[in-house]
Amino acid sequence: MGQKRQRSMKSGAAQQTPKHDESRSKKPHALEWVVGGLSALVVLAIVGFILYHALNTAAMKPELRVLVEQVEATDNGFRVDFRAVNGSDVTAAGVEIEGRIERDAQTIETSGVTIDYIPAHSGQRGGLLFSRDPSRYRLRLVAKGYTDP
Amino acid sequence: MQKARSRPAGQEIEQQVRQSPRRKLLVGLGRGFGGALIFGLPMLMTMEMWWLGFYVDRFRLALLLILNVPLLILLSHHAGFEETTRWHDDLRDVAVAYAIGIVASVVVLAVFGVVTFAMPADEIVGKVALQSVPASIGALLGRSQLGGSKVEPSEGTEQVNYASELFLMAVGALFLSLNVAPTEEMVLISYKMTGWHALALIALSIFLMHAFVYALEFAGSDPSLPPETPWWSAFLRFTVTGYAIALLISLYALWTFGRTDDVALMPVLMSMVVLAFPAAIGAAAARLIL
Repeated sequence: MGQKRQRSMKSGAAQQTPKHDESRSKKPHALEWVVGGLSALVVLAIVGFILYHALNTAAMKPELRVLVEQVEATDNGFRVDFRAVNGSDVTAAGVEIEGRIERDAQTIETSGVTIDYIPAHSGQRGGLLFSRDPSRYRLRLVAKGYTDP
Repeated sequence: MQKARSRPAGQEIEQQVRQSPRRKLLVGLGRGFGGALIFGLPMLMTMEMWWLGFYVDRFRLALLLILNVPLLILLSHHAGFEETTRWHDDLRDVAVAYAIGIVASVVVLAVFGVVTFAMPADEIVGKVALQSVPASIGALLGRSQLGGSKVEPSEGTEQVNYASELFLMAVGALFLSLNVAPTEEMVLISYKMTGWHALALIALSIFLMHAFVYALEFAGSDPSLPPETPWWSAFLRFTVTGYAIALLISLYALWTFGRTDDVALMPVLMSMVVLAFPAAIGAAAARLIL
């Protein structure tokens, strides 16, 4: 239906406007082949890369690490900037990050945040807020869990 | 269907309003607003677009706004409010279209309560600026599309015609990818897919594009594709090129919306392939519709 309409519109438009294709040569210009060739290279490179990864990726689970980047004093406490890194070939979703401040093996303060997604071999930055100064005690940042996306 | 019926009516109106320049201007502006709403509403009603308005990188937002100007100028040259022969006519049309896009975005966002006076200026400007890009494209197209006229390929040399075909494909790709790139589903789909799924999606995108570009094209009506063109010639010059354009436009949209930050190459490629699917359809459809 839609296709038919499209066609009749097209032919209508062609009748209204004077044809201007007589002046053109039938053979496409060399530039068109160059652009077409370059495009084919781009597409093939992407296909090749994905194919290589598809062949070399074993079914595996996310490997998560949380790295502390810096600790800063804020107006009403302290902020720990972290970067959560996923070292595996699969994406982790809903990653729960927990931060603990420990004194003599006893947890005195916890803080947490959930990261929506950490793609494969990628990182995601975030911050945890504490009321005590983490640099005066022992600070632990761990990934507590995740789901498959 | 509706469009087909409105076409002759649109031409009649065109003849009537030719008598009164003021009515002609008003009808033109009305069509511009209509186009801005038709093209812009899907994005005006997407919450990720509101959030992007305040967190999107300001440099990337500015770049998008600046790139929109030459895009609109070229589009106006192809599909403007009226047949333009001089560059300053195009510039005027572009300024009007951009303004219509901004006004339409402000009005709709304000009515939704998404933009209020209690917000900082930076947030309001960010939200409106982001929405004004698709809305202004819609405003520009609205006046030509709703007015019943069709984009004519430029009467230039062969290279210019080929470039203008590629440009129209890029506009179609940009438009559909802007529509869906801000949503979380784009990256979520790419995380659910394996490499094999991605390869299948690439094959499907290219197949559908070729069906649009070559098979559905009314043979003979398109001067760039005479009926005796072998399939591989059209495939390489239009389909593959169009798909490569769709991939690059997808990458640009993902980068603009910060979807590539701190992400490894493979996940970026996967989300590029996911986004290139609608972009490819948009690119192919642009050659038929515009």
